[in-house]
Amino acid sequence: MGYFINKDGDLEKAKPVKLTPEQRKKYLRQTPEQKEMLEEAKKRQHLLFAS
Amino acid sequence: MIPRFVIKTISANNLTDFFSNKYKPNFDLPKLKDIFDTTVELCYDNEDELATNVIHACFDTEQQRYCGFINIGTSTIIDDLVSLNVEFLFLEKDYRGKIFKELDNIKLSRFLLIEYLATNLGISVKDNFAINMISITPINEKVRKSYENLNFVTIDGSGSKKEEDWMICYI
Repeated sequence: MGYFINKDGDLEKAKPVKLTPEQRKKYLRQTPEQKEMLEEAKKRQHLLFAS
Repeated sequence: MIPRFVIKTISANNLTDFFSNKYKPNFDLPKLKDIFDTTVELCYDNEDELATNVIHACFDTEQQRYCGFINIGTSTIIDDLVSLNVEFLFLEKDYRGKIFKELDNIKLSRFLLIEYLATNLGISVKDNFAINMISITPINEKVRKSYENLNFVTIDGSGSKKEEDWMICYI
């Protein structure tokens, strides 16, 4: 969500973020766990549709 | 055979009728109604030309009732990169944390985020528009943990405070 509850218990909108070169290198990629999960999810696509 | 859960997109023209007459979410936790009121505005054809959001509502064919929805749009909030952004995910209380045999023994939250959004919608978007990231800000740290279990990764230091840190999943 674009909103979160801060430490004061108030609703706050998340702000736009600029990543550092290190963050880009570290985070902007697919992890092996994500890849495996999506492969599993592809096998469940029939659950979305009538057969 | 009809699936247990069917997901329907609700067009802007039908939104008012939908949430007035067809589905009234039971917002049982603090702030949820506030978030809903704010984020649903993004789904109307209003003055914000940046809004691309659509409500995807989940219908339980066994119980013949709506049981939740996702408000999905696109965003460039993370480093100007285009992502599919989950603006709001809501499930009725009796559907949270429950494993459904009709979903191949997974939770409905996972089904909506991974099987539906990341895979069904996401792969199509990725193949056609080269958008390959899903972004989300968890409402609190408990929810962050549940997204971590779905292999969303927290970008440490991306928020001005820890609870603001964005999470992403590459598709």
